[in-house]
Amino acid sequence: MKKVMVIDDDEKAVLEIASMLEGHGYTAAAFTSGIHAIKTLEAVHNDAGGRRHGDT
Amino acid sequence: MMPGVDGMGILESAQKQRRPVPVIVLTGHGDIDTAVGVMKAGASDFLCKPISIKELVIRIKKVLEKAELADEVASLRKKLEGLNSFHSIVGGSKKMVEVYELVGAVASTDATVLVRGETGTGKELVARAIHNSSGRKDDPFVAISCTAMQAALLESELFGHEKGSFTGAYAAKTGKFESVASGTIFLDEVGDMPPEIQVKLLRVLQEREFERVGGLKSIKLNARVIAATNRNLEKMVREGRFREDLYYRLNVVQIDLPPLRERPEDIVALATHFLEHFNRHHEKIIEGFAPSAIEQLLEHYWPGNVRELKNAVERTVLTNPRRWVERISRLDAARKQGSLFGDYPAKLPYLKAKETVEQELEKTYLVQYMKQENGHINKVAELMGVSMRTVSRQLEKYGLDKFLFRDRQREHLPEKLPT
Repeated sequence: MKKVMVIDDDEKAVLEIASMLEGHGYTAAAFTSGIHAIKTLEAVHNDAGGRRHGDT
Repeated sequence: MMPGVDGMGILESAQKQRRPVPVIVLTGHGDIDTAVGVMKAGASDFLCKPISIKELVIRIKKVLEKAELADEVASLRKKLEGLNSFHSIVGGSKKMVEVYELVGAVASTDATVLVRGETGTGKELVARAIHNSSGRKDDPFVAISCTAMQAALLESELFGHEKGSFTGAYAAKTGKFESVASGTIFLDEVGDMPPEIQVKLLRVLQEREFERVGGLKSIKLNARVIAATNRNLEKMVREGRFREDLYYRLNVVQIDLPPLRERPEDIVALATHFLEHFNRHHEKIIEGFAPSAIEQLLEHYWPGNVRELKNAVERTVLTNPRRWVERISRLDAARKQGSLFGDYPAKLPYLKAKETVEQELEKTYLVQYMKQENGHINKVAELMGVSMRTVSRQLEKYGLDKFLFRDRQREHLPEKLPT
């Protein structure tokens, strides 16, 4: 599954973009905190042993 | 502004991951400076707000495709490296493939092997390759150089000694033959071994047992022996400087390592291999060799063989200020001239000298014309008065690619190529 992180301080905008990307077949996660986004990115990366095809 | 960290911070963090995550920056400032700034910082793409979701999906798809391609290139490069190398020995030339085949054939046996080759050709690497391909690979590999060592010291190093066996022997010492156990012992520069040690080595090879210096107990030899030399042992035997019986004992299987000048097609592959190695080692990001540097590499005679090439590349990596190597640092010009008509071929037998000079000539013209014609094979073939097929064959022979000579193409390469 292709995973996308949408990060911005505008909560309404990130939720809207994430929802539309879900509609295009991506697994999208919305973040309004940069720190939380980075922590999630690192956790996902460390779990997976590196980027897999389809992560952006 | 997001709390704690801004967009650039996220971008930086994404680049720091073990495998960088592609980032598309959505910005409210659509000016060129912002665009250049985010791309320089490592963004894969950027879009100006307000965004169209359709456009965003297209860009995401493109960025992912690019990342997948970069992964594929990296994986193919790794595979290609494997095809061009064997147990850390780099080179896919016919002569090296013959060496690999011989190594593969003798590895599973216990036969004593004599590796011959000029200085710097990688004799120890071959010995290690035999050891690592053999059933002894989990046992030690012990190397000892027999050169520039006094007979008494070499004897003690090889066979060990008992306490009090000579002045200064305050404690018993285990020799290399004993410590190697069931592994492989590599006797480098065996041609330099003093005569009195030659006798002892002969006995070890014949009887498969030895004693420590000053010792009475016989110790069984379980190790495999691999010897190497750059000397003409046959001549030394004729002159009485090397024991004939030892020569035959050592020379059960002989592996001849070709000098670098006899496998010119491996020069670029080796140089690239060392460039990548020293890039990592010295934390540099040099992309590769420009045509002028390749010309220099191919023109040089390499009397010091692979070791000399390795040192030249390391020196260049340390001193080269650009992304591409335009010039190999401190290559001896005299050696370059000597390679064509100077002293070197005169030291070789006639047929070998003829072959060397012909190869040098062919290589010199090929590189010169390829450079001049920007790597266009049809034009080079016309200039040389040969077929395009011949030019392609010659390029392959010297390990060259026509794209190496495309100056314009290099100018348009992105700042950082995918790896």
